[in-house]
Amino acid sequence: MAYIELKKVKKEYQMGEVKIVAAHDVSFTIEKGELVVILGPSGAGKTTILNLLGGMDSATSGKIFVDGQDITSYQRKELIGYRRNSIGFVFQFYNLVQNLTALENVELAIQICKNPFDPKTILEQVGLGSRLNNFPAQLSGGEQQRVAIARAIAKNPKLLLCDEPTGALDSKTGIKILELLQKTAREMGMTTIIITHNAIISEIADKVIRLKNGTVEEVITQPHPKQVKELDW
Amino acid sequence: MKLLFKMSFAKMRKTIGRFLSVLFIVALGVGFFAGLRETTPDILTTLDSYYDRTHLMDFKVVSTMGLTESDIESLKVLVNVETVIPSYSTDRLIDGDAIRIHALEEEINQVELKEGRLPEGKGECLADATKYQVGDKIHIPQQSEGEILDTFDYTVVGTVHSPLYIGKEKGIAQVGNGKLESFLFLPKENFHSEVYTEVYITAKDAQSATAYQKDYQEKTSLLEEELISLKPIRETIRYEEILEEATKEIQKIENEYQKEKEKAEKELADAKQTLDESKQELDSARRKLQQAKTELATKEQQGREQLQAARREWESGYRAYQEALATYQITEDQIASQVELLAQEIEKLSNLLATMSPDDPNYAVYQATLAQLQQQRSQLTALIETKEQLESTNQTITAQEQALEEQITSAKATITKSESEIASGEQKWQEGYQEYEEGVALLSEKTAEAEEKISLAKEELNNIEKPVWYLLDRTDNNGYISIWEDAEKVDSIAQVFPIFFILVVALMCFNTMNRMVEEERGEIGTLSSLGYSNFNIMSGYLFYVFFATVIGVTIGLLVGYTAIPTIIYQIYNANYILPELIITIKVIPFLLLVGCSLILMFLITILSCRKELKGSPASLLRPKAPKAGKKVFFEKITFLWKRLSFTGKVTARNMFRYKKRIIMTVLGIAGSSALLLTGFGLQDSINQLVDLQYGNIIHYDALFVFQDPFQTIPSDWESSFEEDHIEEKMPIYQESFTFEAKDISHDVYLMVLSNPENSDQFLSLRSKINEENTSFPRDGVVITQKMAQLLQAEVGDFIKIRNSQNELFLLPVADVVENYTLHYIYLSPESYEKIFEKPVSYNSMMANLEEGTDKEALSTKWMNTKLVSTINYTDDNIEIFDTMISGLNKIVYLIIGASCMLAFIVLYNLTTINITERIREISTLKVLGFYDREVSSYVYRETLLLTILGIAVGLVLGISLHAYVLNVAETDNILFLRSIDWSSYLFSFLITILFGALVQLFTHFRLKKIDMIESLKSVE
Repeated sequence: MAYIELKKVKKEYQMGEVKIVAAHDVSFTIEKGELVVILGPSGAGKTTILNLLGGMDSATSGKIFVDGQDITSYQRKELIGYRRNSIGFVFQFYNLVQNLTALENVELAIQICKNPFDPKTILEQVGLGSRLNNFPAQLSGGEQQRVAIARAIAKNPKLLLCDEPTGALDSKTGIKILELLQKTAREMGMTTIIITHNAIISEIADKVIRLKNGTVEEVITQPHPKQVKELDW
Repeated sequence: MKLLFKMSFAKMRKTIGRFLSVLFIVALGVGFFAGLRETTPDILTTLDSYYDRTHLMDFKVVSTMGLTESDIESLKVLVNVETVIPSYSTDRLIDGDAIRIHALEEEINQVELKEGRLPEGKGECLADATKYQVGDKIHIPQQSEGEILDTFDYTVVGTVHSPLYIGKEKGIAQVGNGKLESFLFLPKENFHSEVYTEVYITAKDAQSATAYQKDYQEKTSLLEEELISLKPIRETIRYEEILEEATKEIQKIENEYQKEKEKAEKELADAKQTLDESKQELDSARRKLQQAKTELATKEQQGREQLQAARREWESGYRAYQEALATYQITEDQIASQVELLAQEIEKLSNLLATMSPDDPNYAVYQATLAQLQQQRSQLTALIETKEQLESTNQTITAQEQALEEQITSAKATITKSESEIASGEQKWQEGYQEYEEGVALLSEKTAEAEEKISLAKEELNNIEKPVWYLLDRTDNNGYISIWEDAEKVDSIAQVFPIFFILVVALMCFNTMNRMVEEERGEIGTLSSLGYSNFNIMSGYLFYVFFATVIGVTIGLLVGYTAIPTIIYQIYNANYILPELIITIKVIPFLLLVGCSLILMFLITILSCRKELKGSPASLLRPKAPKAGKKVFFEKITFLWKRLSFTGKVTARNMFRYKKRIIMTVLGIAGSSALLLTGFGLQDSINQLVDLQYGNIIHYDALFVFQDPFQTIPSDWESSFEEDHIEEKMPIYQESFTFEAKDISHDVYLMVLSNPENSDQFLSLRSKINEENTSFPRDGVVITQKMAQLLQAEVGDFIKIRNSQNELFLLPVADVVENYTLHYIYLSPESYEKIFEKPVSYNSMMANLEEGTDKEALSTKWMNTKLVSTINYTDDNIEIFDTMISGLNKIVYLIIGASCMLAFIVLYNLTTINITERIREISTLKVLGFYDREVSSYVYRETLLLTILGIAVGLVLGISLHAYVLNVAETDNILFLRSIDWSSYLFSFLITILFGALVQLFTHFRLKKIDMIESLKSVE
């Protein structure tokens, strides 16, 4: 069995009297340590899938297995526990707590985890060893995203989920972030899923899952993914 | 512009929670403010229209001697008088309850029929709707003296409320246990009396004035002055009338007495004369008797002497005769035979001689013998004659002697008879004399008596008490004044609380609007970039606020105007019998409030908008730089900072980061808890008052008020007290005085304690000077603290008091004692005598009763003796006080309730703002896998700390607010305790915390519901 498996996953939202199907008949598998890019245009259902995988939302039907556990059967509390211990999130807009320093933002995450990494070490790894005690407002966008990544990986999650991690950054900084993510995934063997509408980014992935109108259009396995540096922006 | 309004509406729909929150905050604030403020005017309107509708009298005159037609006439001609209606009333015991029976008047003090109809025929009456029912039969016990009713059995045909009886406590009755229980109205024709018992008067133009208000006082004061000046005149006139009547009566009695006396004296004189005459008669009789006695004695003697002489003569004759017998040697018996013999011999001899010649020798012898014989015979015959003579003499003498004896005996009998006659006459005279003497004594006794009576009557005439006119106004009506005092208390509370309330509300609105504008800076920027002017943009918010405010104020006013006065009125209705509340919504204050609220809210909105509008559209369009995190001062204290847990650090930093929010939160919570503490504190102050006044200070059980003054308790009362098991008792002298402070006259009771050293059983007068029981200094009086406060008097000062005759007295203050209601002056008999220069005589008595004493029976017993005019029980005072303050207490509950609501709204609002401001942070936490509980506690920790800080500030603030409210609410004869019980602090703390917890519970669910995906999607 694959590390992660989605089976005929369907997600419906009830908007007033209208039912909106955000995702349907979504099935794919991801192996442990893979770097996966979920690619698709706006409204294709990328974030829906990410949210379902991240335990932030529940599927209407279908099954999602992560490391052998059926997370669709999880109750609210179990879902939180799953987020707590198994998932690291990186958002487009970083979502750092403004009132906490870089170090503290990482500490905030790890203080509730079972086997966290040392926050300082992680921050040094992401290249912020000298900015531990800076507040988010004192950091650039790229630095903030690094803190966010550090916060996500310090939890030592089973799955690192990144929602348009470069969306708010200029290309130069974006590349650096992608490099960091690829490096982390490779070096730490962390299963990483990046969602993006940017097809170029998909070239660094082991597996690309193309979504269109809420369903999987195509799953491409790339045995030789490109390095970030090789990408043609 | 149209679009802006549309946007406003859309905003209302979208943020309905915030819109409603602003709306309800405004509604609550304005409603509470307006409701409390309007309560007193509404009650006033209701009461005034009730008084007007029923034509409640303005004044009532009662006289101790009743009122005559001329009294009535004199009242009618007063300038400021409108109507004068003489009437009757009498207090009777009906089935053990003291009931006042009024004559039903048509033009004044009209009753409001609750059920049934007005009386039409005899034997029908109206009765108190709170006690009687239509169809009840009432028997009025007839009075043996001075009955003024002609019918005694009635059927209740209608039940009524009377404006004369607004309070459930109806006052003092003249009968029974002294507590007036209820009332009846009889048709006036059932009353028959020479004088009216009372007269009801209305003042000119007073009806148009509003009761209790200055214009009413002004309108009635003119008449009052007239009445006051008429009072002594009519009293004097009536007094003179009575005096004249009494004088005439005495004159009549005196005349009668004189006549009687004269008659009696004449009778006595006559009797005396008769006695004298009979005495003379008796004397002359006695004299005659004496004479007769003397005569008799003389006669007797003479008679006896004569008889004795006769006897002696007879005796000598008899002796001669005896001698002759002896001579003749013959016995008396032989004489006859001798004579016979001699006769025979003579015959023989004569015969012989005749035969013999004279010559015969013998003849001569014979002759001689014959002669001898013849001589012998003549001698003997003489003897017989003598004897016969003697015998007859003897007989005569004996007869005479007998006659004499008889004469004497009869004379003596006569004498004896007349003697006894005299004796009986004497006795009769004696008796007569005694009778006469008795008569004289009686007369003098009677005279003395009658004279004493007359002089007494004359003296009484001098002592005839001047009839006293009691001039009563509406305040005589027990409920009339207390309902107003109660209503004014609401007003005094309404002066303070709502303002505080409004402040908190304004703060909350400001907070909310601020947040709203901040949240919508993007939109503001867009509009600004599209070319809308600042005014246009602002007007969108103003429109929003306008809607929220107008609706909020309208709801608040409508609910506040109707609900709060109704609730308070309802609360009062427990102690009063009141008409339906008239709720008036006055347009101008209504609009004014709407206007003021709008202005305030607009101001708040403008203030909130201005800050954002200052920026350029471009800067507005850029996301606002999040407030930078920074190290707080606290972090510099490294050794402490290190010890804090991670979340502790976060909390500390957050708290210092949002200073404005902290201030708002602390102030909001402080306001609520200050209000709560004030509410509870008021309750403490009010409730402790009764316990202290009637538990610690005045703790005798009963106060007997006697009809007549006394020096010491008479022994026959003593035994009666013993029957009632009253052992602890102390006579006191009580008199009501007035003193002036702040231009207002206050009543004060002067209490002379007969035995101040032992007064501890009845009163505990703790000195405010040395905190010990007062020692009743000899050279002054002891006054109560509120009085001292009003007069600003200290020990050694002199205070001025006036008695009912307006005489001024100066009293040296020797001590000031703890006291909470009314004013008292305590002093020892020595001080009294020194100050008033007259000996004290007591008119009342403090007493402690045995446990379980039947007070009604005791009252009835003593009042029936006519010695006691009333008995006041401390328990009753407590009850009266309790009912008096229970109204206030309930208003305090209302305030506490409103404060709770406010506390809730404030906390809810603040937490809501806190959540919306930090929604990304919270969502991040959720995404990171914080459990709901952990997320909540992350948010709570701050709120909890702020709440506790707010409560601490609030409790401190509450102490001052409490003191302030007490100052406002305190009337001149009450001293509230400034102290707040620790339990009130605790309750205020706990309630605020409880509401905090409740809000947290709500927050917890709201936090749970936060959609982290949605919240994290948007640009910050």
